[in-house]
Amino acid sequence: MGQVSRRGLLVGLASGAVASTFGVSASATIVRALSLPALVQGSRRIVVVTALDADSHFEELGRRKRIVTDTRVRVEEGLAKAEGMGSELMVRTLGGAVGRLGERVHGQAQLVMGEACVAFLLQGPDGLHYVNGMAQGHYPLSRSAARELAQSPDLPAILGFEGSAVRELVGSQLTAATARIRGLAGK
Amino acid sequence: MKHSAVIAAAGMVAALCCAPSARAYCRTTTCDPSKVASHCELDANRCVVSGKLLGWRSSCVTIGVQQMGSPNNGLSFEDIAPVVEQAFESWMQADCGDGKPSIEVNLLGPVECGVSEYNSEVGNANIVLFREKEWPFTGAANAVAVTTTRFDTKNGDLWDADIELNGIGAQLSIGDPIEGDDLLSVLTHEAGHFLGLSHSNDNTATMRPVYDPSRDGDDFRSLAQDDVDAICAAYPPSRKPLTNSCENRHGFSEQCRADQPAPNDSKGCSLNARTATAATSGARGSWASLLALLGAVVAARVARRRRIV
Repeated sequence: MGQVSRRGLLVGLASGAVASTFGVSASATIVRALSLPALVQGSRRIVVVTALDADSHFEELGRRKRIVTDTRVRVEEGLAKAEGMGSELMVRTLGGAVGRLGERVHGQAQLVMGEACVAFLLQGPDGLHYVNGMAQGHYPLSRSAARELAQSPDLPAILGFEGSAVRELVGSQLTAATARIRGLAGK
Repeated sequence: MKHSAVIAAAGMVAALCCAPSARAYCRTTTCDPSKVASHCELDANRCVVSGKLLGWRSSCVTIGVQQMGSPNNGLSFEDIAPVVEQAFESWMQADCGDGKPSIEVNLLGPVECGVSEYNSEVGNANIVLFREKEWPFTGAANAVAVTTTRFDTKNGDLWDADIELNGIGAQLSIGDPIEGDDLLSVLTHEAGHFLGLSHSNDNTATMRPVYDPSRDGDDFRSLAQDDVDAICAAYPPSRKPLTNSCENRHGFSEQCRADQPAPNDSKGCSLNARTATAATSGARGSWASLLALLGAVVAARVARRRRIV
């Protein structure tokens, strides 16, 4: 193997990166777009959280037993509506696996263990938190210093995407997104 | 200089071969990111590639339509059934070059059960159902439709799938011109998930994650080449299915679990149970079994027509 110039290596890497830049992601369900103002107004809490552990089990939902996953998350930062909140929350998402049975509700937020994300949360009558708008209320954060908001991996199909929160937030930096969210939340 | 040119060229080749234009579709897998041990790896298309691919292992599955239809939207079973059939037909009629996809989705008649559930001891049905009084998904009031798939986490075998439509929050419509939430568009997209497909980053595909009815017209109704590639990859014509049975896991039942007899008494749907038995034995090889299989298929088709029309 001969010598490899730095420029060549960079060009090669950059070319390869082009391939991965144009990707969207997996899975679905069809939802109407939630605009960022609607998402902010409709959420009980808007926080940066990191998933710590999760438990999947059967729960009665709509008078039928379905698999749900309760994820314990650590609150890293309250972006808006975060008063009186503890350092940990329990977030429930639909689907999961119990034994050999896997249940996938397409379009749900998928909280990945150990990874930080911005979450727009509702609080259900059961006291648990739910992600607002399914995966429209979930934005994984990049590990880079800029902490950019990424698209949720199981984003549902969105009707009227142009005016959606997803369109507005994906790719923005956490500091800019926080300012925008706080502006809309009125604080 | 020569090396740098080679590496740059290699990078471009990698970019081209992995670019969405080459293959934009994704398939659903068993990988569960909420499990600590999981690391759901993404490929260049940002498809999850860890875990087993989800798919029906049989050559035939059935889908029923809730008998109530959607009174809130003024749609009866008779209005909806042909739309469901048309949605699945689009996928089954895809031209794979060497034949059609090796999966058949047979439309059953009206199904009594109006909830999405999977029964591990008694009969099941894959259902298109309408939630008319309660939309049970907290945080998803704006959803038009939700598809739930149940599968074997060990190998990705699909066991059950239901498509729930929001009869309260959605304005479902059929026919032309497209008004409100076009049922055929919604169902054609959801049928892709039912069959184990995920989203595509081809912006012409029915499986794209973004849809603007006012701008995209009826694009969701018909498949793009990327959708055809996806279904043909999932169910290639040359595939050797595990079975030719149309039977649901644990037998077919149009009733919900609560309304079914206890497991020991359950015989499931008599027509389908017979069909499945004949079909399974037919696959084993003798001429007599083959004739039984053909008879069962014809019987199923006749019954299907009778129930739809």
